[in-house]
Amino acid sequence: MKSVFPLQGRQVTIYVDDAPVTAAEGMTVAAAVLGSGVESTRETACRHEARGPFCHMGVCFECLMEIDGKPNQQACLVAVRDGMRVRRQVGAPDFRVDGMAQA
Amino acid sequence: MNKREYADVVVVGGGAIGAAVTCYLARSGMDVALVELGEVPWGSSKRCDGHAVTYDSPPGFFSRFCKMGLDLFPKIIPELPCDIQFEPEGIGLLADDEKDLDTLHQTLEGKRSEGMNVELWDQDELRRHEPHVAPSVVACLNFWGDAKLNPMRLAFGLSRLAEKHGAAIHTRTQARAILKDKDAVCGVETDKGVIRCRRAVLCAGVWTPVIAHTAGVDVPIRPRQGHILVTERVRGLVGKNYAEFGYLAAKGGQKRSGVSRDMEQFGVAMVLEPTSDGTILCGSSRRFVGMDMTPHPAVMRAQAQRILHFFPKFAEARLIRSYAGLRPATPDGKPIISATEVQGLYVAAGHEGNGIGLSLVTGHVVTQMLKGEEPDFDLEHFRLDRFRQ
Repeated sequence: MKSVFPLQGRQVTIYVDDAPVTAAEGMTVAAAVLGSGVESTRETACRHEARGPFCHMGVCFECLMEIDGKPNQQACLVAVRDGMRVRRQVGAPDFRVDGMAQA
Repeated sequence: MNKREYADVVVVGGGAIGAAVTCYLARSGMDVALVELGEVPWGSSKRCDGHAVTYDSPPGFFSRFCKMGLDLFPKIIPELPCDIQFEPEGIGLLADDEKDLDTLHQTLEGKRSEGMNVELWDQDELRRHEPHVAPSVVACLNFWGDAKLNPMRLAFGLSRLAEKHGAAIHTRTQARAILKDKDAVCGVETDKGVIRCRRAVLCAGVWTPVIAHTAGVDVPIRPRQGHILVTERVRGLVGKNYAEFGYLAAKGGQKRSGVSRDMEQFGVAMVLEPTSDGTILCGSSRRFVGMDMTPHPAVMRAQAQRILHFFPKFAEARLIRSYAGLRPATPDGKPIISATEVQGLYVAAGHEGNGIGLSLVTGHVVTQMLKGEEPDFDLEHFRLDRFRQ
């Protein structure tokens, strides 16, 4: 997907929910995701409502995404890297282990 | 809210204890006014965790008092106007030292003889339930009746129920002095005026000594600071409440092995409470630093390290908040639920870390005491004058 932002400098490709997105080196993940036209970066844990980047400075925690397998990362504080895999954060991070008695 | 100029009983302090005392008094038909500096709850009841438990007291009268307190929750919950998120899901006491197994077995037998539902898990059984527990943990003693709840909702709900039964709840009102006529209570002076009364119950936790002093009564309660760390919302990191076996030693001020200097110095022991909202409250620490309620980075670090010792997977969860509260500690670690040398002046405070769980039973026995009935629990253990002998 092409970014709506003018991309200066070296271009990289990241994958947002498996879809390739072109971004410029130095951009934050939040900017790259927004630039690709995706406005919602997560779904809230209790009411399952859509949320997107708001403050872009690490304060509001609305832009949480799963980045390279790590849940609840602040997309506005992480710079893009070529080949990075990013997913929308759906609900709270899940540490459950299959087949366990745990609730 | 109607401001009162007179009440039969004035309760000072709107934490869990004060709200419960007000509620039980009002429910029994008495004319009560509650005076609270802030909102309900304020002070320590909104700076704690929500454990209502029996596990942390050795078999004996205090353990039975805690059990009695726990058993009152299901009875009052249907009357409360809000959900207090009471969940009797149990708490597990984790041992990471083979040497502790004998004591665990003794506790098991002692608690069972008091009619408590206690069960020992070995390492394999524990791991089946808690895949993220550290391999160093050798056993888990489960106290199945123990519960967690939301202390803010508890105090709020109790004060609303009290209002329904005619109590006057005066928030944003500071109690300044107990007024006496000769040697008997005749009123409570507040920043909004005097409420005349013949009886007053001091439920002001760590602030009790200050107000008691205005009546010439010495109450030996000291503020013991405790920190709580709060994780972000997570799923499946831990299945229920846990504490470490060393918590009992830390509580008793005993020396412990295998902990760092900071952990020893700050009285750090692992306590976990996964809340119904998905966050996990992580305790605990205990130290005397006056009225300081500022979380201290060194204590937070030691506390976080202790959690990781038992649940290394917590390293992947972010901490989003921390707070420190002041637990009202008495010299023998037991509360004061007692008359005083001033006629009509009572104290119900000093529950330290057990105030949430003991709130209802305190309200219940204080009501019996004020009505001149035989209390359901022998209050000799909780007399104020035990410290004067």
